[in-house]
Formats: sequence, structure tokens, C-alpha cells
Amino acid sequence: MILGRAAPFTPLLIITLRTIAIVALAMVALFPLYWMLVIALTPTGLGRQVMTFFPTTPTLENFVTLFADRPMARWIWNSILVATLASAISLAFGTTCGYALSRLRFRGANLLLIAVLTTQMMPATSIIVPLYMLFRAWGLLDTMQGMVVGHISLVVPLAIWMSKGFFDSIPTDLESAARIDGCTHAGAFFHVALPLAVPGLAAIFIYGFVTSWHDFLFSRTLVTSQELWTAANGIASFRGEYFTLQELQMAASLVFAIPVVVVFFVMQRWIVSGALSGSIR
Amino acid sequence: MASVEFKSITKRYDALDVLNDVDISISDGEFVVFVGPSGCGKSTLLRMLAGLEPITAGSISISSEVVNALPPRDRDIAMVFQNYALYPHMSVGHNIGFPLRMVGTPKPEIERRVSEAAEMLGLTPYLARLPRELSGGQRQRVAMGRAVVREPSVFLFDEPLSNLDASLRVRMRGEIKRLHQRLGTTMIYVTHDQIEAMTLADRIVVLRGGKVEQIGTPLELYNSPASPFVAQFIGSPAMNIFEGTMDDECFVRITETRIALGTRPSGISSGAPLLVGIRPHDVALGDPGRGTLSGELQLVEEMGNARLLTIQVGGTSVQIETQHQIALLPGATVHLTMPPEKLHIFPK
Repeated sequence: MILGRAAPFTPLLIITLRTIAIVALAMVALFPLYWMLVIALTPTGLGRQVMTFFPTTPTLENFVTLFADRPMARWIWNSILVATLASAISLAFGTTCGYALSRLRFRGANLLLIAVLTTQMMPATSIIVPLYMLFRAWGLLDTMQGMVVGHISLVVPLAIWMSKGFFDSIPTDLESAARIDGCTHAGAFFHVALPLAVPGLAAIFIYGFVTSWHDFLFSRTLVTSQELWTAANGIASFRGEYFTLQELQMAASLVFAIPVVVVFFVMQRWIVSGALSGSIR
Repeated sequence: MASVEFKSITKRYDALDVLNDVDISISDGEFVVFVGPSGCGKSTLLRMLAGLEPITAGSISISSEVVNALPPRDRDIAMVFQNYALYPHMSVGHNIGFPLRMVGTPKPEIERRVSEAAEMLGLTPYLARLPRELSGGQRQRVAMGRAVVREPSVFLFDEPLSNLDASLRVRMRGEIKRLHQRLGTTMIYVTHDQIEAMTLADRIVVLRGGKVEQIGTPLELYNSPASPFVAQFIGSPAMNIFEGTMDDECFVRITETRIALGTRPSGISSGAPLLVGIRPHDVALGDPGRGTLSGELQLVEEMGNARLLTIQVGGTSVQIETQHQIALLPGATVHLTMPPEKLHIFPK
């Protein structure tokens, strides 16, 4: 009975506390982003003197400078090109390898999977020197193709694991049914397995895109010409030995974040749960 | 329509023999049920016929053509899977029409045949729905619709009712039987449920440990089981089996009781150990006397139209089914009479 009387207040209290906690966490998470915006809207050279939470004389001159005086558009385009190609090619590799590892039974399959995973255990810094030597021998240094290949090597191992996991979750009976219904092995893959794996493939694409987009080490090491820099490389160039163009750096960082957000929102609609429900039992 | 023939079929996974030298011949238009306990190889046999499992040795023919090397799509078969295997990203209409689209059937023809199949199975109102929006029974009907729409030579069913509740299973069983009567197509049905096998089949193939134990009509299997395994597998409640010996003349001895047989079973010599089977409804409660077995009543189960009694006779637990009201309590001593003509004698 006591519980019965107390019950109407309990959910309200919980909701209030939960809301306070969420707002506090959101503020902690979003404050750096907000501060980036404040600095980006501050006139060039005055970023260090900002003492208020709101910009006193907001200006877009830093954004204008980025695109008018600096090759920011070029760097962003390079990043988009490299990230899109690297994630798309990784997706193609990951999907086919993952499907094969999920469906084919052969000796050494588990060993192969572990070997693929082992490559993820190596820090990028430890493979950059051998990669540099390889790329020099292959003539891939200071080329966009080289950077794409480098990023693929970063993304593919996890893409294989992720896609194997997604294909494992699709009952093989669906493909068996498709083969009886008139499909070849490949037809069953394209008509049944692939459409059902779309949420997983979207997740792999996002992972590949973000990994490539954020890469600094490879683009800094494998590319030297300024016109081939990716945006990450370009943003770093605002930091000098004695002086940092903070306002430009913050403005560039905000611009840099936009494509990833767009990609995430575009791909998000493919990431739906329960795609398989109703297929069996 | 087509006949199907399994000739010396063997299936081996590494060192494990799943099927061993299986020979089955199925006539055109026949409804044959493969039945057996889990792991007996019945589903493997069906999947081999479908082309989903390679054959280790032997041959499978459909309409006298050996199909060992043919891919599933070229065997002119349709299969209903245990878990339905509906394509979750396609509507009911697209699921049913999928086999026709894959062979390039013109769109108007697909629409006509899909609506015919949907009409036959009562699925017309659900054609635009996704499988996840259907009940278990409706999904099962969609799976059947997808099979029916192809008009195949052979239908394969792999335990299609095992995921349904008891009442729906009975209804769907009737629908499958009606489908066979209507289409007259050869159907091969796998189940571990002997009641499904008995009610559906023209002939039953009992499998055990990868081998054919017996092939026959439901009544042949029920009345003349070839082995104690078939005797106990077919019929519910299961047949009682006693260990005994062949006494001299025409008597069998169970525990200390001699039971007269009408005729001496062939191939069993005097003193030979044997197994004696009798169905629960053929055993009667009687008075003590010659030829009766005595035991202790352990359990009385009321079934409404009959009662199932569990009685301990020596080391054997015996079930008897009786129509009479029972006033006895567990622990009471009862006497069982077993008509000689109802006994099934198996060499041990």
C-alpha cells in the first residue's frame, strides 16, 4: 500500500534525475564543439583573448579565408575522394571475403580469420615504415592511389570480420531456398544475402569512411605535395613552430566534421534493426 | 509429377556415416513420409534430393533421370523448410512470385499464378505484407505458396509443422493432405512425429541410424512392424516390449509366465531369447490364472475417453490402455492378459 502511494512520484523523480544527468553529460560532450565555434567566429588573431562564453564580435572571415586564401576546398575534396574510395573498396573486399569465410568450410578457415584479426593488433605507427618502403618500391608515394591503398589496409581486416559476423546471422536456409527457387549460388547471394546484410554493410562503410577521414599518419607520411593533402593534413598545417592560427584551425575543424556527419545521416537509414525478423519461425 | 529413386545412397562426413546404403523407390504422385528420431539422416536424405547436400555414394533419380550433378534449380522440385525460410525483405506476394521471377516468367503470368496460389491458401488479404507482419501459420502458408506456385514435379517438406502449436499443426496437416489430393504431385515429407507420418502418408519410410528400418503403408507398419524399433516408434502410446524366451512347443516365457502362441514363429528355435511386443490397448486387466502376468500398478492417467495405466511387471514398465473405469489405487497388484494373436514376436 505504501508502495502504491509512493508510486506516482517515483517515475517523475527518476525522469527528472535522468534528464539532469543527460543534459549535464551533453554539455560536457558538446562544450568543446561549442568552444570551437566560438573561436572560429572570433576575428583572426584574437582567439587567445576570448574571455566570454559568447563571441563579442562574431565574424565569418575565418571561413572565408579558408576557402579564398587557403586550398581548404581542395583538401576536403581529397579527403572525400580518398575516404569514399577506400571505404567502398574495403566494403567490396570485406563483403566478399566475409561471405566466403561465413559460408565455406575449409581447413584453416579459423586460422585465416585470426591472422586477419592479428593485423588489427599492429599499431599503424609500426607498419608505416615498411609501408613507406613498399610504396616507394611500387611508385605509390605521393599519389592519391597510394593513400587509398594505405587506408584500405587499415580498414579491410575489420571489414572482413564485421561482414562475416553479419552473414553468419543470416540463416543459410534462405539461400538454400533461393537456390531451389531458381538462383545460382551468386544469384542467391545478390538476391537474398546481400540485401539482408545491408545494415551491416552500411556500418562497415561508415567505419571505413570515418577511419580514412580521420587518418593523419598515413597522409602525412605517404604524401608530400600540398595539392594531395587531405583535410586532416591541411588542418595540421595551421599549427606552426612558433605560432598557431587558432581561429583558422577551429573553423577548418568545423568544416572538416560536416562530411562525416552527412555520411552518417545518409547511411543511418540503412542501419535498421530487425531486417531478418519474420524470415524464420 | 515424377517418380523418385534413391539407389545405394551413402552420406559421410569425415569418419561419420550419416546414411548407409539407402534404397527407396517412390512412385509418381505418392505421398511418402520419412520418419525417425533426431539424427537418423531423414533431413539429410531430403536435402540430398534437393541438391543442397553432395552425395558421397549412390545415385538419386527424378523421373528416371539421375540428378546427382544437377544444381537445385534444375531439379524441378520445391521445398518447404522447417523454419519457413521466407525472404524477410520481400512482401508475401514477392515471396510467392520469387521462383517465377527467377526463371523469367512474364509479369502478367506471375501475377495470375501468385493470386491463384494466394487464393488457394487464403493469403489474398496479406499479399502486400512483410513476413514479419504474419502469424506462424500464415508464414507457413506463404512457404507452401512459394512451393505451389512453381508447379514442380516433386514437393519436399522438411518438418514444416514442427514450429507450430498443437491445434495449428493439426489444421495445417489437413491443408497439406488436401493440397496433395488436389494437385496429385509426388510429395516427400520429413518428420519425427509418427502421428503426422501416420495421418499423411501413403507410405512411410522409417529410418534409424542412417539405415532404412522398414518401408510400408501406415497400417502395415502399425500391424506388422519389422523390428522392435518400428514397433515402438509407430503408434501412441508405444508398444510394450518384454524380454522372453521361446519355450518348447508354441509357448513363450515372460518372467515365470508361459503364454501360449497359436503357431510357432518361424526362424526361432526352442530356448532362443526373443522380444515380445503388444500394443497398450491389446492388454487387458484380468483375474489371476495361467498365462497372466502379475505386476504392481504405479500410475493411472485419465485421458477422458480412456485411462492409461503404468504397471511394473518384473523389470519391465508396461503401459495399458483401457476403456473401463478403474477403482484401483497405485500399489495394487494387477493381472494382465495378453491375447496370443495380438503378440508381436521379434528375434533378439
